[in-house]
Amino acid sequence: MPDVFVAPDEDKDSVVMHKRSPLPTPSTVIVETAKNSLPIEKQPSRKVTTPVEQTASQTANTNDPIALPHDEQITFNPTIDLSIGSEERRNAIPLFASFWQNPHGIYFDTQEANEHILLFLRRHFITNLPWIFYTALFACLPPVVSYIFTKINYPFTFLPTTFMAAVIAMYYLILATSAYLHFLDWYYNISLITPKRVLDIELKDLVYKKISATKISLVQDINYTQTGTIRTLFNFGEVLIQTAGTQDNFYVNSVPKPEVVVRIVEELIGKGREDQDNATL
Amino acid sequence: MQLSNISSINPLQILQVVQSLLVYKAIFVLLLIGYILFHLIILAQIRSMNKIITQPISASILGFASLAQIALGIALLLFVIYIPI
Repeated sequence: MPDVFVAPDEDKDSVVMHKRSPLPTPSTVIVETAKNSLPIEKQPSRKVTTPVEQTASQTANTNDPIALPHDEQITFNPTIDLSIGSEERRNAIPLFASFWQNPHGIYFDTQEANEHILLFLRRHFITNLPWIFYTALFACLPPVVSYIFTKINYPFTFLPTTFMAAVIAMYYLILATSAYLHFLDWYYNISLITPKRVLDIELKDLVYKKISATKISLVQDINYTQTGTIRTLFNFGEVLIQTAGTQDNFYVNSVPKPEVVVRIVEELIGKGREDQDNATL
Repeated sequence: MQLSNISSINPLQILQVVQSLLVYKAIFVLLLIGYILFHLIILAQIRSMNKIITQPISASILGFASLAQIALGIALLLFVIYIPI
């Protein structure tokens, strides 16, 4: 059987040469017949494949003796995978994260189109322990006080019950607000490092917002200090980013893994200087 | 209550009780209105901060927490207003 056969093209009055499949098996015939018998609008669509997929498919074809030629592959794709990829899932930042490299889903308003965030920094979560402890202590206070006064036979019976209920509810609302403000103070004090700049976003007392940024090319030096047992144990410290000229220095307080932050910024500074040197040459 | 008992109540005492209740209620109402306004400011700040930096989950969870606290404040305000203290 010759490898190549010639078939007339009905539309164009021309001749089209087809390469014959290695083994025209019944399965091939069935698929082609089924496909051609369907109306055009009901014919299954062919999958649009990327070059990588094409290569993989061709490789599979060479291994499978009864496989269809690539242009005859019919792929049924009833479901479309809309789930996020493993890379994105891995870099999706958790709610209480304080150190994250290449975070996914974080954007700032002055971010440029080709600017991605390398480092996302907050104070270490352990720094929240004091206010969590005090909140828990004050939350336990009313029942404890009530228990003590009952034990010494001095209950608050002279006050109306509804009044006491309102006072206690008010107390807990104020306590919850205090805890919430502490949480927001931690949550919205963020430092970001991108390949182009360093950003510091600060929210204080709900009425004071400070957003400062400096270019990486203006960063002169970076160092960190880590003092005390707690900081050494939980590996967090203060990072000082010194900038050139009259620009303010950046202090990133209680940041986890300060040595990693320093290394990454140093690499960025070095890369920026190399680029500058290459540009001058 | 019998008519003779009513006549024995000192009107000044009634006035004192009503005044004290009103003072307590007024203090509570003012505190709660301040509380609700404060949380509205927090909500506005969260919204503005979310424009500056968008973080996943934060807008919904923090906004919900603020709204929940505002709802609690309103509930307590209604409790104080409608239930005699």
